[in-house]
Amino acid sequence: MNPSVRFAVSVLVGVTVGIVSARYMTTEQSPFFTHQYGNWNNWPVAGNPSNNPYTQAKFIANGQLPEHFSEVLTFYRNQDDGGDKLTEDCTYLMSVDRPTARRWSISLTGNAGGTPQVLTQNDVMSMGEKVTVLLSASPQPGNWLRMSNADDPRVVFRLYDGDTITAQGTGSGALGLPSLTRVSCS
Amino acid sequence: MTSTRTFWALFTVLTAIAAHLCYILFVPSQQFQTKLDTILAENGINKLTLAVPGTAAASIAEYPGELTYALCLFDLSTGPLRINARVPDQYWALEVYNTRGGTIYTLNDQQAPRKQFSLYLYDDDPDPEAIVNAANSVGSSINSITILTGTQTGIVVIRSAAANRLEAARSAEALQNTSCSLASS
Repeated sequence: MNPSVRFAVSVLVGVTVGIVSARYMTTEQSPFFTHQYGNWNNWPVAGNPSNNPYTQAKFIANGQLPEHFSEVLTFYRNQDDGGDKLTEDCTYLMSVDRPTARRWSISLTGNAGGTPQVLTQNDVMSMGEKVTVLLSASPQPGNWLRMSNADDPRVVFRLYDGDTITAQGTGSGALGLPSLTRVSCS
Repeated sequence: MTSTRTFWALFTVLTAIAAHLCYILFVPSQQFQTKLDTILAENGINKLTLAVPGTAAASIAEYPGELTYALCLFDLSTGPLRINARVPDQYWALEVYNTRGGTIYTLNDQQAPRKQFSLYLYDDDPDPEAIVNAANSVGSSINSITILTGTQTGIVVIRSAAANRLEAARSAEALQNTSCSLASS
């Protein structure tokens, strides 16, 4: 092969691999800088001035200023407990022991944009210590988050007073992260 | 032949590493700077702005359904910044960021001394006594907090609870009575 062609191919392959790998390492699915709690992901050093360039890049590339982890712990997932990707064709049941944090929220977002659907500690109805929320494109009884216009739906669980929460332990059991099971699909 | 292949393989790997590092170190910060420039053009410097829908500032509001956002882009090259904060009697958090998105300082409703206080931001000064004197000259008191930012430019973001209409109204009222300006003005 002609050396100039080899050069061009090498540069093309190298630049492509470099950029794709960089973009992958700043996604929520990146296993390198996220903490995994079951199917929940968390960027543990968000907002820290000494955080690594990947964590910084993840947030600022989207124009976001991450809340310091001592203020809010934010967890993301785009899969159900069975490991399948969330889809608006299905109904899901989210279940969690009522969080001890003074504020918390569950929201549903998607790549389609728009204001996320949000339920906070003030919005949910629950008879006991268990909070259940149905995620579905069609109206559901009780606590409901509407899955519509959601391309690649993503559930976000936020616990305020992050430093208090982490002082109680950071295992997934100690954090009390919700389960998310698929109920049915159309 | 083998050494030629090894050379090109190594060249490809090194190119990939260089592209990877360049992307991580420069592209996101450049994208963010472009966003800050847009907010700056719309709102100006050293001025608190409510991030209401339709404004450039709203683009930093990641959770608009549960929080009200206000931000102030600052430049300390001409002197310290003063934030006169009036905060609602509910959850709020104030964070000072550098222009790369790193947190410099954070304060929330459970840590603040009062519902009304002043925050003074100074760039690093080699002479600590000068900083103390400057703080005193602009009226430092028990209700004021002094922060050394270590950078001349950055962003102050105030997030306040807005999960329902009552919280949103309280937040909006408090933030409208909060100011961000040069301490000398």
